Amino acid sequence: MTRSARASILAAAFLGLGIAVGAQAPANDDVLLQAMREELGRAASQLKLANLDGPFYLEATVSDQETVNISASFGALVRVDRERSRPLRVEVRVGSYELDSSEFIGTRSFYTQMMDVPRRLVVEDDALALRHALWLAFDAAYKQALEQLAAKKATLQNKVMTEQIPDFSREKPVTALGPRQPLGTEFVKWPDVVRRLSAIFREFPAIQDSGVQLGLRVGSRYYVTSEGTVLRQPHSFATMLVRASTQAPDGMQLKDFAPFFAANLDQLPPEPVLAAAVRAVGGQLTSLAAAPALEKYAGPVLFTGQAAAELFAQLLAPQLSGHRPPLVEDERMAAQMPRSELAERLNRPVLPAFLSVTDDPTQASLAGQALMGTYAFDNQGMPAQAVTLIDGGVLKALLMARRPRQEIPQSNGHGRAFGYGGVVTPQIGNLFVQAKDGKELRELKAELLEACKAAGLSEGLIITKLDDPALSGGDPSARARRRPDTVAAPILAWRVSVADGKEELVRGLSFGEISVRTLKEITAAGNEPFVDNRTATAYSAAGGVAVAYGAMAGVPAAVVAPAMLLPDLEFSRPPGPQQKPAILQHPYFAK
Amino acid sequence: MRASPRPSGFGAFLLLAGLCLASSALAAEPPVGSLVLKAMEQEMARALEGLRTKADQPPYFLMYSVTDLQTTRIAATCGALENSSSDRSRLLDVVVRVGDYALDNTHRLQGDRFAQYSGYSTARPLAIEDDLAALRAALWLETDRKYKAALESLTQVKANVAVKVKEEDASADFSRDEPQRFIGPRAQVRIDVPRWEKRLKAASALFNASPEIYRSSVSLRAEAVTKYLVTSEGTVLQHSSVQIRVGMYAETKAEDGMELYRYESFEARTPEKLPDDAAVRAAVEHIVADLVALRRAPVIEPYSGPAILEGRASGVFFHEVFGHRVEGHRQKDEQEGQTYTKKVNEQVLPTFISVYDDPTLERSGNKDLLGSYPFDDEGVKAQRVTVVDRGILKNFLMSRSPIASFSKSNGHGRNYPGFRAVGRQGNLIVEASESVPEGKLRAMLTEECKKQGKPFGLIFKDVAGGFTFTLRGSPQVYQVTPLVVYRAYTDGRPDELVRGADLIGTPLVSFSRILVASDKVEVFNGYCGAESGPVPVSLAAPSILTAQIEIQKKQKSADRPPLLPPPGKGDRP
Repeated sequence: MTRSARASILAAAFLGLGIAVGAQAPANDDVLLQAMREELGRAASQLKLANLDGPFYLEATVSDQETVNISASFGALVRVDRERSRPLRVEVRVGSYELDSSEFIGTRSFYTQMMDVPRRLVVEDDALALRHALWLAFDAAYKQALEQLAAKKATLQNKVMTEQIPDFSREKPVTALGPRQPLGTEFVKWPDVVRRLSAIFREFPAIQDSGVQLGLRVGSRYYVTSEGTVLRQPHSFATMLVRASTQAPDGMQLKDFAPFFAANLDQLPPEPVLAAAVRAVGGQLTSLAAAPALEKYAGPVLFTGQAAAELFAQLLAPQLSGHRPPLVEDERMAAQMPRSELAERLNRPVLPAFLSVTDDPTQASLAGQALMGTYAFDNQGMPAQAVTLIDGGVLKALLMARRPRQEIPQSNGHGRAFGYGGVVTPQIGNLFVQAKDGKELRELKAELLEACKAAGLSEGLIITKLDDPALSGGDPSARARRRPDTVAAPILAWRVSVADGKEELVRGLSFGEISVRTLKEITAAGNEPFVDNRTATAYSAAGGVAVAYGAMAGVPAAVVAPAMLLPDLEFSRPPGPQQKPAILQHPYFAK
Repeated sequence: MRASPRPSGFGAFLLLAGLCLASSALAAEPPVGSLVLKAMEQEMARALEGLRTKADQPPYFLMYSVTDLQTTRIAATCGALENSSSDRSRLLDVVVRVGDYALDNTHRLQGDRFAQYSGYSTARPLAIEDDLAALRAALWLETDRKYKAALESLTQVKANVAVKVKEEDASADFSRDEPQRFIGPRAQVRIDVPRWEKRLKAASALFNASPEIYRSSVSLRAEAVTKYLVTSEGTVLQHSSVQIRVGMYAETKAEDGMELYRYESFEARTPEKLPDDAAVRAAVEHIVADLVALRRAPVIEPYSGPAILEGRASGVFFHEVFGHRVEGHRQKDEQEGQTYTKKVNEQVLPTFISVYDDPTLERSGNKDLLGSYPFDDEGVKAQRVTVVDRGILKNFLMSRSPIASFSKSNGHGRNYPGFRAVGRQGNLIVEASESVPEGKLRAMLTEECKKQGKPFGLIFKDVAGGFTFTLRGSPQVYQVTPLVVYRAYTDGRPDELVRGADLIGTPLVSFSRILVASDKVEVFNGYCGAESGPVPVSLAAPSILTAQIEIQKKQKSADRPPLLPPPGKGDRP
C-alpha cells in the first residue's frame, strides 16, 4: 500500500465516513465483501435457538491472499511454491458486552472448541460458494458460543470474583474500503536470485549448513462486524532470510542469520546488497567458529545495534501486552496462564528515568527505513494509534485490544492476530525505545570499561547481535522449553580489554538469570536508534506463549532502540552436552 | 477417522482415501541413473571409506533413500475453486546401522514405553534440482547426524540387553537379503489443470441442488513419485510411479445430529484413464441419493448376529482383523498381542479361504491396485507371499527385521519418508476355494437368521475404513466403520437402510464364524496408517457370510444440523 492510500483510509476512518475512498471500486462490485456482509447480516438477524439468546456480536475476517515461498540451499532450490487462499475466521459472541462467551477455557470444551468451523473460503468470486462456507462457519461458531457461555456461567457460580470487568469493550464502528490488492505476483526472477544467493556459501568451507528463504504474503484483508465495521485493507509483506550454522572445532553449535523485511518483493534490497549480507553471515560465522570460547562472564555489558533492540523485543515487548488472561475452569491450568509481569505496575517505574517507550503503528518509516509494524487498523477494526507506554521510566499504559482491564477500559488499537486467521491479542506494532541525552557509542564504550575497572574486571563484554529463534530456526526442543522471560543466546559477542580497549570476538555464552526487571538497571543508553524489523512473539489466548517459527508465521513488527549499557549480567555456557564435530569434511571442500 | 484414544493404544489404521501406486511410469527420459543417484553413490562411497578409517565404530550398513514427489492438487466446492496448486519436494532418509546384523542400534529396547515412537524422525528436505554439490552436502550432513544418533542408540541397546531378561525371540536385528539393481525412468505426469479445474467445479456444483448436503468437495490429486535408493550392500534403485485420484466427498447430518458422509473415488495411473464427466456425475448422484436416504434411515440398536460383508467391507475386515496381525515385526515385539505368532502351520481361517499379499499385481479384474510396488522401501524386490493356504497360516509379511520363524525379508518393508520401515501390507488378496454365487448369499443369510432365531441379519455394503489395536496394553479389538448398512428381514419385508452402526469384534472369534464366501470379488483402495507412516494399500476380497458379527452404537455429535437454510436464491435480497 502506498503511503498516500494509507493516509486517505485513515482520514476516512477518523472522519467516520462510510463510503469508499478515492478511485477504488464501490463495495457492491466486491463479491467477497458482499457475501460476507449478506451472510453476516442473515446470521445476526436470524441465528437463534429457541429459548436461548441470539448472538449479540458477530465478525468475519477473510484475507484474500497469495503466498509465495522459495528456498534454496548451497546453490540449488529446495522449495518453490505459490498458494492462493482465503483463510476465514469468524467470531460469534453470545451474552452481553459485560459477560460474554469469549475468553473462557473449560476443561471439557478445550478440545472441541472451533473443531468444526470452516477455516477457508473458495478462491473465486462465486457468491453462493462463499456464502455457503460463511453460513456453516457462523452456525458452528454460534452453537459453540452458546456452550461456552453456559460453561463459563457455571464456572463463575463457584468462583468469587473480586472485580467485575466487562468482557468486551464498546467501540465506535468504522468503515474504510482500501483498494483491492492485485494478486498474481510476478516472481519469475526470484528463484534464480535465491539460488544464486544460496550458492555464495560455496565460498565458506567452515560452514556446515545454510539456506536462503524468500517469503511473500500479499492480499486484502476483509473485516466485517455486526456493529457496522466494514474494512478492506490491502496488505503486503516480503521477507528474505539468510541462515547458516556450523560447529566450532570443539563441536559447539554455532549459527547466524540475516533477515530482510519489505512491503513487497521489489522493495527488498537489490541483489548485490543481499549478496553482501550473505557473505557477511558466512564471514561472521567463519570467524565465530575460529573464535575462543568464553564460557563464563559476570559484569557490565554493552548491547549495541540489533542486540539492544532485540533485548527489548524479547524482554519488554511481550510484557507490555495488557491482555487479561481468560477465565480458566481448571485451577492448576489457571495458575499456568501467562501474565504480564508489568501489568500490575501501572504508574510505577519499570525502566530508568531516562528511558521512554511508545508504540506507534502509524509511523511507516524511520530515517528512510521501513517499519514493518505499520498498519492502519488493528485486527478488531480499531484505528491504529500511538500509545505512550513508558514515560520517563514510569509505566503509563499497556497495549490493549477489546478485552478491557479494570484500569484500562478501552482498546488502543493494538489487537493483532497471531498469523492470519489467528486469535487476537494485544501486541506491539512499532515499538520505540527512546533515551533522553543518549550518548555516542564511543562514550558508552568508555563507560563500559570504567564500570569494568570499578568492578575489578580485566575485560568487559559488548554484544552486537542476539539470536531470534523465530527467524534463525534451531533446536526444536529448546524452543519448546523457551520461557517468555528469557533472552535467546548472543550470536555476536566481543570481549573488550580494559587495558587497551581491544575487542575480540568470542563464542559460547548464554544468558543466566534475566527478566524484564533487569532493564531497570540500565545505566546508559546510546543516541542512534537501530531498526529491528521482526515478527512478534506474543501471548496466545489459549495460554502459553505462542512462538511462530519462520518469518512468515508471526505478526510483522518493529522494535527501535539505541545501544544500552547494563551494569551486571551473568552468562554461562549453553546447557547440555556438545555434539562432536562432523566426522568427515564437507564434500564440496574435501580434498 | 478417529485417532487412538491413548498413546499405548496406537495400533494400525486404515484410512479412507485411495491413491493408486504402480510401477509403470511415463517414459519421458531414457532410464539412465540420474544425477541424484550419482550424488547418492558418490557420497555413500566417501562416507563408507571415511567412517571406516576415521570412526571407532564404523557402520556396517548405510542406506540413502530419496523420495521425489511432484504433486498437483485441485479442489472445488459448491461450483467454485477451493484450491489449485502444484508442488515439488524431495525427502531424504538416511539409515545408519552400527553394531552387526545380529545386534544393532535399531534393536527394540525392552521396557521402554517410548520405543514405539523411536522409528520416526523428520525426513530432511533435499534440493529439488539435480545439483551434485547441493545434494552431496545434504547427504553428508544427514549421514553425520544419523551416524551419531546410531552410536548413541547402540550404547543404550547394549546396556538394555545386559540388564533385561532374555528376549523370547532371539533372532537377528537385520536380515541378509540380495542386493538389487534397477534403473527405471523418472516419474512424470501432466495434468491439464485449467480443464480439470473446470470439470471439478462443474461436478461440485451438482451438490448445490441438494440442500441436505452441508459440505461437499470434488478433488483431484496427482502425484508423480520417483524413488532413489542406494545401500552399502550394493543395492541401487531408481523407480517411479504415478498415482492420480479423483475423489468426491459429501456430508450431511441427520436431525439427531449424527454426521453422515459418503466418499467415492477413481484411481488411475494416467490422466487418460480418469473418469469422464458422466461417470463423475453418476458418482455424485449416487452419493447424494445415499445421503438423502441415510438421513431418513432409522438408527440401529446394538446387535449381534449373522451378517453379509460385501466385497469392500470384507476386504477392510480382513485388513484390520487379520492383515495387521500377520505383519512380521509384530511377531517379535513383546509388547504386541501376537495373536498368530506361534500358529504357523496351524489352521487360523476357514479351510476354504486363502490369503496372499502380492505387491507385484497391478490390477484385480479391471480395477487398479494401489498397493503395488516393484521394490519395497528397504530395496527388497516385491514378491507374492502366501500368508494363508486353505486356512493354514504359512507366512508373515516380512521386512528386513527377522523373526524366529523367518530370517529373510519377503519385500514388505514399507514406510513413509521419515519413518522406519516395518512389515506392511501391499495388495492383500483374499481368495475362496469354494464359493457360492453372490445372488445366493441373501437367502443364506435369512436361513442363518432363522436358525439362530433372529428377526433380521445385516448387510454391509460399503465401509469408510477401520482401525485395530494390536498391542498388549490394549484389548485386541478391531472396528470397521460402515457407510452403508441394510437390515435384512427374514419375514419377506424389503431390506431397510439403517445408520449409526460400527462393526466391532476380536480376531480369533470373528474368523471362526465365517460360513461361506461368494464368487464376487471387490477392491478397496486406501491409505493404511501404522507406525511406519501412511502407505497406499489395496484389498481384494469376496463377499462373506458370517454367523456372528457385533455392532455398537456410533459416536455421534450432539450438534444440531445448521439452524438456517443454506444461502441460495430464495433468501437473496
